[in-house]
Amino acid sequence: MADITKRIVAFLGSLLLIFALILTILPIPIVAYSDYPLSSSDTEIASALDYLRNNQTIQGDIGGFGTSAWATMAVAAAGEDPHDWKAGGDSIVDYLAANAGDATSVTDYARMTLAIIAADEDPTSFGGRDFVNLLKGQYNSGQIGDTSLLNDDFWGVMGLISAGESPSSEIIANSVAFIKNNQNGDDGWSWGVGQDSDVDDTACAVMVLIAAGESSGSNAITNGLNYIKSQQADNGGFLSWGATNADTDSWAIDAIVAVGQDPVSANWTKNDSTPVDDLLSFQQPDGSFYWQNGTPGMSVPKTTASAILALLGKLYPVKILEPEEGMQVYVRIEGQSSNIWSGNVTVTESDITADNSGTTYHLSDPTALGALDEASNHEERFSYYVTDEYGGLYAESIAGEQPSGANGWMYRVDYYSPSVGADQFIFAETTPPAPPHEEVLFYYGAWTDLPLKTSVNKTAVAKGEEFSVTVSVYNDTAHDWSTCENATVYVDHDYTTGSDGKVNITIDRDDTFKLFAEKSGCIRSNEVSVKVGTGVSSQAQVSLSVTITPAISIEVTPNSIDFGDLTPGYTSNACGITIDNKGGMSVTVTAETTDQAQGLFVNGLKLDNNSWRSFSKTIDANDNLQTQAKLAVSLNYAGVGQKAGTLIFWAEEAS
Amino acid sequence: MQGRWLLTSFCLVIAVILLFPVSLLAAGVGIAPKELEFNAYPGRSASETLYVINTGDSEAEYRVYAEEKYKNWFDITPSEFTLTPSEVKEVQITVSPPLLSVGDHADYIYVAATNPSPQLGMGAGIKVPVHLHIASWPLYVAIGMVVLLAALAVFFVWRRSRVR
Repeated sequence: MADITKRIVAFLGSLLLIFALILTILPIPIVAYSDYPLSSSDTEIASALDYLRNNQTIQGDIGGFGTSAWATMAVAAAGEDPHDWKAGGDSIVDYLAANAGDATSVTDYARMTLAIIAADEDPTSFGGRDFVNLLKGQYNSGQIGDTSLLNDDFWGVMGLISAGESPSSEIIANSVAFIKNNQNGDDGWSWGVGQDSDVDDTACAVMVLIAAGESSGSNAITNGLNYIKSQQADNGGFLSWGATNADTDSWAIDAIVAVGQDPVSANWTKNDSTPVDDLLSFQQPDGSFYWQNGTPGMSVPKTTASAILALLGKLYPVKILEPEEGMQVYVRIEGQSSNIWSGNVTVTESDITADNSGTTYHLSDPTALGALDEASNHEERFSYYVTDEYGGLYAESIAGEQPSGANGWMYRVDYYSPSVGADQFIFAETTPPAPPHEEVLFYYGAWTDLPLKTSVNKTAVAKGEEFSVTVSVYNDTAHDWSTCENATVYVDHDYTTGSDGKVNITIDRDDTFKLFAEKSGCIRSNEVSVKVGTGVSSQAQVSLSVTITPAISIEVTPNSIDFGDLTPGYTSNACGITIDNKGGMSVTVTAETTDQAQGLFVNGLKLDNNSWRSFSKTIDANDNLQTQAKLAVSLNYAGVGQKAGTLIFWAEEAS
Repeated sequence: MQGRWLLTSFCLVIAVILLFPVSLLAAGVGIAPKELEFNAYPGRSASETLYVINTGDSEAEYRVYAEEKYKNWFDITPSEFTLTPSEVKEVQITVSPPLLSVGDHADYIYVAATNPSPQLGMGAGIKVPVHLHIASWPLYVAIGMVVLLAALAVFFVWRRSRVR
């Protein structure tokens, strides 16, 4: 009987051992990667980020202009601030801004838009360029960019969606339809119309359709995903040119995540390998990702950036700006001697108080005056004075510039001088000029002053390369533009336009120039940026530094107190203590006393005549408080001689 | 003559006092970030960095420690150091939660700056809130570990019975 028991125990033990070995040995890769998505503190991501960081130059770039944008998105997706990414010089964001002029194609504009938004910058004003308008300017024939290409539509739509463009807008709706209409018969998409499907472009199409609001259960998405699935190899990755690679895996994983599926689920597991397993197999000892093992590929930093996003379970667009309600218009305010403000604002309704009477007026529609009010509240604030003494609301002065004689503040919409006050001009409603209303210009001048417009034939030139500036003047009668002779163009110095309104300029030094034109009897023109050479001036470098205040910091003065000679039964004189809050936030301060003096300080120390135990005060940032310390020695205190103790004031963030 | 000498001495003393005013030294401490957050698994450690700066105007001794209840969970390196005014120390705080610790825990890390004094030494301290999120291991890992332990136990029982 005992033998049988032993045999059963032996049998069960062997079974359990085998089972345990299977569980503990075989699942190692599953345990390692089933925690998908990875977090930025995981070794795989941390080392990939380190690789990118180690490849940043002092100019701030990582792998050049295009790759720096991808890297910026990866850094932001990993929860880090790209502004902090610098290798002893400019940050990667500074680099992108300084080289914004290098963007020349739809995909450049889209990639820049995505990166700028990921870095929490304004895509409508970055490096002197409005990438959202540049993208919108590529819309033609119901799609974005080249009608024979699809990848410019994928990324163009992606960029605009990221910038907060409504999926129901004409440009998005039509471009999405164009993308869907060009899904191939095998359910995939290609880079070009009528070309063979591939996983990379199909993944892009899936991502952009989801971003544009397409249901993950729609035919287009389901079929697209089926195509991706059909290309899954036995190692879990996705085929491209007959083998898997990190770039294709990354975008395919992004697409899977975009539709709400799990790339490490059984559905995407083949022979116990997932797409994530295959992607991780391309990671090198230095943290980078090669296109294929043994083949670095065209850009290791770009491949690494894509892998970081995919492993984090993030996808493109990394960030999407909330679409703002109301009318978006470009506001430009030209003062007597310089531009006061320019930029995009979104205006809905406004409450504007007349400075002369104190009466507040509610403008329930988006008006030109409302746009001025919105602009005045932007980061680079300016003041304006509005009066109701002439009937409606009138902006009498802006940025302190007061009317004088025949000169004062006027406004125009799309260069047209409306016949109603700025408070009554309702965007998309009031005519003339006909909607859509895109720009409102407030300017200091005379009633008869005419708008100027400046344009250039090149926005980026090499040092010594000629470019041409054209100045036009608006005709208030014909409502069109004609060339403007004898206008002064301000670039590196003054130039004068010829009879054709043009002037050719050659500059021999690196810098980015913001040029504009002026002429007597005219309104100062818009600014245009031209990048010469590297676009970075070597003539004036400004050293920047900043001292960051600790989040929480307190200082206690003095650092010791001598209560003098005391006899049991007596209380010392009051000693003043100052507690300074030197941190950036309000703190609550409490006290704690310790001693090795038979409780002399613990029992006898008083702050503001109360036990130190009841001390609890809140001190605002950069404020301080005074407290009085006294020591009461009890009548039966037995010790003699000098006694020491410690009084610590503890600070914690005020709730 | 003596009156003149006394007046001169008095003026000299006043001048010395004016030239070298008594300055009250301050004890100061600053930290960043204002709170720490750890995401860890039981038995697996996670680390964060706390920066400590001497914002006072004299050298001070600094001690960084965790609340008694969670003291054994934390490894703080360095936990005691001296900083001159404006000097910054990078303190590595590693949490290694024990096996039965799944859940969210709140604690404080204490950073105290003190000046050793033969009298009542004044100090400045900061309580840094710490949030610990201890997630459970995936189920199959736990099952695997339990099965392994059970297998080992059965194995040893079997071995002992065979020896007999």
